Amino acid sequence: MKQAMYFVFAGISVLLFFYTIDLIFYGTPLDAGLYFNQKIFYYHVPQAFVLFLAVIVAGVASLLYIKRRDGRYDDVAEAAGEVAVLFGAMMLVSGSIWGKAAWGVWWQWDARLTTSLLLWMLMVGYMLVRKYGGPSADRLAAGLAIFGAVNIPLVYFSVKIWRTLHPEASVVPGLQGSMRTTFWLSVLLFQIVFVLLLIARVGQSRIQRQVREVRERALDAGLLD
Amino acid sequence: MRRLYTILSAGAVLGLAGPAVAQNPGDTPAPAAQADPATGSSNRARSSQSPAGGLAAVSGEDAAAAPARADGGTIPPAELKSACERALRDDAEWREALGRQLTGALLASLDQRVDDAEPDQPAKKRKLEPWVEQLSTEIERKIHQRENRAIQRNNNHVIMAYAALWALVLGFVVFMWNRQRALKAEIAQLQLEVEEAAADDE
Amino acid sequence: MEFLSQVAAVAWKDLRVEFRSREILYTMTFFAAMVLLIFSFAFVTREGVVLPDVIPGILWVAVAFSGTLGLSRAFDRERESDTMRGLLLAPCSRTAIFLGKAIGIATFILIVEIVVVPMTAVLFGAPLFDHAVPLVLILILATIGYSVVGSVFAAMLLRTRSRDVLLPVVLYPILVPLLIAGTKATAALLEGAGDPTAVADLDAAYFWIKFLAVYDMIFIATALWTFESLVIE
Repeated sequence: MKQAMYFVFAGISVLLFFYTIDLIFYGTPLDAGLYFNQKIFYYHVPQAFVLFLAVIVAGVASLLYIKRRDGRYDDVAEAAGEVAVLFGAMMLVSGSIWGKAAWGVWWQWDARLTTSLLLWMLMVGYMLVRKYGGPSADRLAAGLAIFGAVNIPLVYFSVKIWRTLHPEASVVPGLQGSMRTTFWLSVLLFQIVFVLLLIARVGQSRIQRQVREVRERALDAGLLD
Repeated sequence: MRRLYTILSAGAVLGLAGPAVAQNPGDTPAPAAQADPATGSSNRARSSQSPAGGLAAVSGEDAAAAPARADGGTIPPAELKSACERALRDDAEWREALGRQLTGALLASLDQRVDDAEPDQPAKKRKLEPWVEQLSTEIERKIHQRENRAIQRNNNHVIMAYAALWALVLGFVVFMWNRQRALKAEIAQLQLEVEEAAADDE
Repeated sequence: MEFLSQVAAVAWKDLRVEFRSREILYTMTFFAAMVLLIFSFAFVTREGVVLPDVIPGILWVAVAFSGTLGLSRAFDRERESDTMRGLLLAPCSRTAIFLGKAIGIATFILIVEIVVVPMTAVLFGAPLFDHAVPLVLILILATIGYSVVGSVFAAMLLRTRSRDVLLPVVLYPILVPLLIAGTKATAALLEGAGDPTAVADLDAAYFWIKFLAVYDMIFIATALWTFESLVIE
């Protein structure tokens, strides 16, 4: 049953992919300022949404993990961390290309960019800690995720008051007509892809953890050396 | 298969060429007017702008009445036309005089138009002869078209960005797939070891 | 009250141990001074003067780096002599131990700052002490935040093999708002340095001081709430 649902959603996401591509290329008008390059926005902003969502999921899952000591929460946190790194990388690449088209530079140190880069690096650090943190890596990573998630609003405000260049008070509420539908469909697409990847990755984490536990138990029972 | 490709490419060519071809007649109302200014009087006479109005302004009362014959009947237009053409061909002086009159009429009418239009028309435009003005508008339009095409061709770079992004997702999926395979192998290995150890114990 | 005396006891123990050898203090201070020196080479202009805009950044980078050094060294010491177990067996709450250690580290960092800040003022000609009260507030608040967050992570990393490398990796992303606030506040105090008619931007400085206070409160609360579950030995 679950497998069937998964494949149904995978199918939906494929269809949605083609539909959004069609809409983006043929269904939306050219932007007055940026012409074609503005279309990157239909991918960049949804990816940023997913990054933030993934970090929040990782933070909440980590908190639940250390409070309840249930390995399943740790699986979710690990999966969310990895997917956050992926979507963060995508967001940075697409944002960089858009920035080159819009502002002429590949990078700028304004509030949103700095916060997103920092968030991404936090999740990269999370993955590093998971990998090289030794036996207590899960707790360490959980601590990082919690502190990091709490940190996000602080970083955003500190950098915002420091520099402002990004289109403030986003463009999103002001979208009209076909641009708006395309945008929200794109958001939906990326959210579905996020959930699909997350579920797959959680499954893998769980298997990894169970294999580890079985191995430990076998060692304890003296079955293996 | 090859036939399919031929049909598809033909269709693509027509599809792309069609709009390009279709645009031309509508865009260029009087390219013929720029042909040769020195001997262009005949062209100007046929030009669509406002020669009729200009001529009327110059020879108002003459144009209003239909040309009359000495015997009272009207001269058919075809005869008039061939007479006019003969005169233009043979009588160089008259041709030049007519040319000057027409130019004057055109300029006057243009001036009139410019005066009627917005007050902040650049002064240059009043001075330019109409064919120069037409040339420059034509050139501007061609430059705009070229720039537009260049900007629109930029979609390559958006397409590459999209491709790179989805390639990252696919790369991640492949990475997870490999990891799944390794996990399966590890489980099989573990199973083997446990079975061996259990068999040893017995 | 007993809680506070426990905290004081742990902190006092750390300080007493340290003052015997003064190893951490000397190495931290020297390292901070070296960082200042290296940055002076890095940012000197053609005329041989360090750009005034980068002075706050240099100061805070030196503090951040030497702080990490001190943190890892202080907790290493516990691990080496295995005194952590002794501490945990003692009849005092984990929170008291944590706070005591945090206060110890905070003291070390403050001592380093007492040396490094005047050094910056002298070496780079920055009139840091013209507004001593905001400066002291900035330093104290930032140090508190640094030591609390640092202690949580250093304690978690106690038994990890790659702890030396992982401590910066986990600590710096969390410390970014603190470092931004410290740098911007110091920069606000130094604004218009060299220009006798310019006045320091005290409003901005106090804004960042308030920001530091908020940061400290949020992270002290988070640390107290989660560290028991995070740091189990």
